Amino acid sequence: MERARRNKREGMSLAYTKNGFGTRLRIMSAFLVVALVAALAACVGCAQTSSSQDEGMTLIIKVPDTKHSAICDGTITTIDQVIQRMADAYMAEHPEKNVTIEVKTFEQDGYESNIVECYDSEDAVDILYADYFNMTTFIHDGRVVPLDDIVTDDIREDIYDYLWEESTFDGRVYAMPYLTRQNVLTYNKDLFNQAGLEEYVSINEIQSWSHDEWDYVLDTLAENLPEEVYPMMMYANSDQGDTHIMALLGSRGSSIYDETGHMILTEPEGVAGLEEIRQGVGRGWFPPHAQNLDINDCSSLFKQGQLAIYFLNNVSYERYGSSVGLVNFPGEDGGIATTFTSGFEVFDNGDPERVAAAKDFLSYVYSSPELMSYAAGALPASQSIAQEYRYEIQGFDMFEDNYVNVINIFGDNPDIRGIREHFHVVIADLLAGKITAEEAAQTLDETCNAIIDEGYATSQLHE
Amino acid sequence: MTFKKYTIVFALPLAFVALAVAVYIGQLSSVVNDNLMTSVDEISRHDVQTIEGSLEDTYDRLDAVVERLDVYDVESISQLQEQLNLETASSPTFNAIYLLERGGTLISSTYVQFGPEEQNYDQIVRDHGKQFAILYDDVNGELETTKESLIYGVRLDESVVVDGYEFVAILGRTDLSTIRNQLLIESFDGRGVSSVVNEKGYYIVSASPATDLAGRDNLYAMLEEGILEEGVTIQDVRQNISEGKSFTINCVNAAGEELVMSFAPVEGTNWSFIMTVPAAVFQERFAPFIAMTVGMLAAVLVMVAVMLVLLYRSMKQSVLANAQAVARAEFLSNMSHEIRTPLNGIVGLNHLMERHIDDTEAMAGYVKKLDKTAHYLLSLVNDILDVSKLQAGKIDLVDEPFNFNLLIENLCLMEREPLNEKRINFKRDIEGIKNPHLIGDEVRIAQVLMNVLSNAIKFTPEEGYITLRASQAISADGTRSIVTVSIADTGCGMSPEFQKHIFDSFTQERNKNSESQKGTGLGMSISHLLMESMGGSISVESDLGSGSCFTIMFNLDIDQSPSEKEDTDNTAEVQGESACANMQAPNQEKDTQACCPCTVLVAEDNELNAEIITSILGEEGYQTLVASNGKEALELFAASPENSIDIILMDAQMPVMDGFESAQAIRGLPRQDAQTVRIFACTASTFAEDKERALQCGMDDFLAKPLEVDIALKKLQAVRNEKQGGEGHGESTAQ
Repeated sequence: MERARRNKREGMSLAYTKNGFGTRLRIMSAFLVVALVAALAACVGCAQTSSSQDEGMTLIIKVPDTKHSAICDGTITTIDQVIQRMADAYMAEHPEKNVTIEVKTFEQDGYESNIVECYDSEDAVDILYADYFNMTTFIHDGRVVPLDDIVTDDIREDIYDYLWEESTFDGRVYAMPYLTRQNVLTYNKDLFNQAGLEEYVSINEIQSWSHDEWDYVLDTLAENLPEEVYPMMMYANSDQGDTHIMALLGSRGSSIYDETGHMILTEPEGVAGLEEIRQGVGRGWFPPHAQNLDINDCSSLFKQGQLAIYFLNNVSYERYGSSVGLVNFPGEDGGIATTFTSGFEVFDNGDPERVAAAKDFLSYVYSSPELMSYAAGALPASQSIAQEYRYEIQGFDMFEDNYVNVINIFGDNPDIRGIREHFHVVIADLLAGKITAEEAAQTLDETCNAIIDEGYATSQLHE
Repeated sequence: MTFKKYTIVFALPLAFVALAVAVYIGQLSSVVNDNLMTSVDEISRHDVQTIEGSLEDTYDRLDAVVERLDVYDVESISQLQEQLNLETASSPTFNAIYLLERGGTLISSTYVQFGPEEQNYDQIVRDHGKQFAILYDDVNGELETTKESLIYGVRLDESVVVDGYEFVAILGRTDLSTIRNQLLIESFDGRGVSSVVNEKGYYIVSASPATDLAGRDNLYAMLEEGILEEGVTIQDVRQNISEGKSFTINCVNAAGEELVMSFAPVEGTNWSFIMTVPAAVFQERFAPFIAMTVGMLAAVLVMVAVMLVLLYRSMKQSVLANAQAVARAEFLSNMSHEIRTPLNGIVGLNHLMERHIDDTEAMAGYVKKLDKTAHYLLSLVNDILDVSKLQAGKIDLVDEPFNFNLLIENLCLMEREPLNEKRINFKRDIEGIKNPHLIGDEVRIAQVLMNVLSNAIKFTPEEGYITLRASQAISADGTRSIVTVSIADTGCGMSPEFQKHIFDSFTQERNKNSESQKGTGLGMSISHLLMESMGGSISVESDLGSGSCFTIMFNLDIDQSPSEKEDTDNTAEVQGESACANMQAPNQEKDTQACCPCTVLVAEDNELNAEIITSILGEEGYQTLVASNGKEALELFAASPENSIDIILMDAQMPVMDGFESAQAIRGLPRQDAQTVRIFACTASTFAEDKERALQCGMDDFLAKPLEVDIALKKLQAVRNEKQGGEGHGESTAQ
């Protein structure tokens, strides 16, 4: 193939007028000069391609790569597909608004590069759909606008109250909840049976084991499982899935945060929880060198039948079906469960029209039962959708009943992402035996509380 | 040279310049593009070398892991995986390391074991050489991750046996996100972007990476959404990549952006390195050269144009000067000819009179012819002077009230005789003149109309027709009027060629009648110049043999308060002049001369002229004194008794003291008659400013040389009549 050659030229034209001869000569001279210059300039012009077209307003919705299933549509496998359906429906139904919505997906660990680093750029996010624990930081940055003006009475009544509580800061709604997932631990029934733990295998319930039962189960698994099969998940190679490890810290009754929102792992319950993890390494409860593993590795081990206990939520529970049993995270009084609420935030990029358009989009979504029904698969934020699909959402009643064991794993932390940057590093050191449980608790409290204090100090909710 | 030729002279060089510029720009564009493509090639080569070096380094790392396994002497699969786990943790490159068991099982550093039924890396190892690198694709079996990753593989020369399992290859998995920044090289100020695709078109490195396998981009899909140029097909691209060729394509992506994509194979892989540069980069790099070229050419062209214009002006001035010189020479030649002709007649008549001095009847005929010839010469000189003044723009027009109808009446009276002589049917139609009271230069307007009418008479055959029509358009406020006078005749008419030059000096249609139609040939030129000076116009329509129609148009103010006197005086004047033509002046003069003696001081430096004047005056009963210059006239007047000198004829240009100065001096003398003596300027300087100066210097009237004897005597008689009647100064009329 020939190498590129692009040197377009336009022909030149000569012209003269028919006035008096003397005038004609002068005019002709001047005109020819101008014509030649113009023709040459045209060559330059044609060598440059430029076009501009008013394409109306473009909104950017960003969403982290997250698996999802929707009862109403079996083709849905990721949440960005749902968001795209919403965008398509809005653009189709409101062409007069001339709003183009781009849905962009990013990796779960890509908030910094895809959200923060894009502020004030052409790729700045207008609407973020994500798990709340990744979103609160932006609220306290002052980038996220209040949404009270689009929360109609109908919408307010339809959404569960506890989700409004999670969405409200300083008396104003900064996020629109769309769905929630309840996280508990799960176990491979075959491996349990293989290890001689038949009496712990149950169906159609979320179990709760005492400390002794947990110790027994894990020790038995460690003792009886084959060499390349491991009792329980553990990882600390990245912050992905760290919330589940954090839940394990409450195994000895720690609430992790006090009423002021500060971390209190240095209290005895917290240290005990960390100590239990440290001792678990030595007792063979976890894969060796788990500090080098991440959640995907443990997921693969669980899928391959090489891991007996992993975590899941009401969405992933459906994939495993009856091969697994459910049990709350170890804890006092029935164990611990956590929830991940997901929803929308609207960012202020300095353009009131874009903010208004983004709110208009959310108003449209929340007024559409069809679009809200895509949440059914997880636990819908909409009570009407939840009631409509409750018998089709696998384990809906189980998880609804288990809500009493749910703890707020992040409290009202103003900078959860800041804490997550450090948490897995300390846990990795603990797993590697580099630090004791007390040292881990001390480090976590000091580091995380400093982040929390700074978060509160710099918090500026959008007016 | 005609305009067409000039056009060719200008157009051809400019066309040549334009062609040369086009060729130059083409060559320049080619050179710039070549240079840019060379830059692209160099960047691509550098990137490819970087990638190939990175691959070699990665293969070496995997080899090193295998070597260390021997050192650690692992005994079980779990120990082996634990060791791999630690190797992975300490590796900056790998997110997971795998060992492939001969049976196809893949064991991972994450402790996961993938059976042969779950993946086909055994086949992949067999399909490749000792070393390979492929894009992680879940079609080959899903491993721990869904992230875009690279799988590196090294087939072991010596298999590793652990716990009875024989491992034949080691693999490493690396998230693309961790190496993307190493391989992603931007160029051309960030607008040129490197990428790497595998043979299926999936991006191994790209500027906009996907988050997982499901969302990854594909080169061929991108090309399908856009347009490939120059007849290249996607199949061509696919084939070239699979064959490991280097090539370049031009395409337009889905967003409409023109791109230049340079492909280069990465050795040891099925990959192709792509350097993508927006075509705009080429054009922008090219643009400054074009701009500079255009600027320089424009500057050169402007300079050439300016030089051409200056040259043209210089040539034009030269041509004009030559034309003026020719015109002057022609004018002088014509003037010489025209003056010599009557002079020749005068000389000839003088000779005949000498020969027949005693033949009274012959002498009377000669004298009559001499008079006609002299008057023709006089009118010729007057016309020449008029033309000269008009062409120099020195004519002074006066704005005075006059009656246009009377002007026409006067004109007709003056031309009645020649009209009658040729029995011409003359029709006058001035009904269109709604308000004849105008303000303007009556004399000059009359001169123009007289020229045209006398020409019409001259060139109209006997019993022909001449029609004079006058019309008037008055402005809405009644202050201005446009007067249009047309004089149409049934004369010989003019050729179209002559019509173009009729208003030039010394032009007359040369036809069979020309010899009998003598004229100075300046009348039309004077008329045209006068109309131009007045802001009016004169034009002609004529058909040869059918006649001509002259149209004179001028714009004058309307006299808002016309006086009866104006009409009366003019009427009287016209009637007087008309009467003059028929009166027997000598008898009247003889009647009056005896009743009252009158003394005239003649100030004239030319003795002959002085003698002629004194002779004429003497015959008319005047007593005369002669002074040869202004000073002498002053002295004579000063020395004379009071009221002894009644009239002074003062020549304007005289030696010692000119007439103007002398007149001023006489008026300044401290004697009673210094203010009352009648002083007539008698000069050949006949322009309005000369008359004005004479009056300002205290003279009473103006007699133009050569003297119209009858008119001069009439004016002198008027003075004598006043003296006889004891009356003061009468109203004077300049000649």
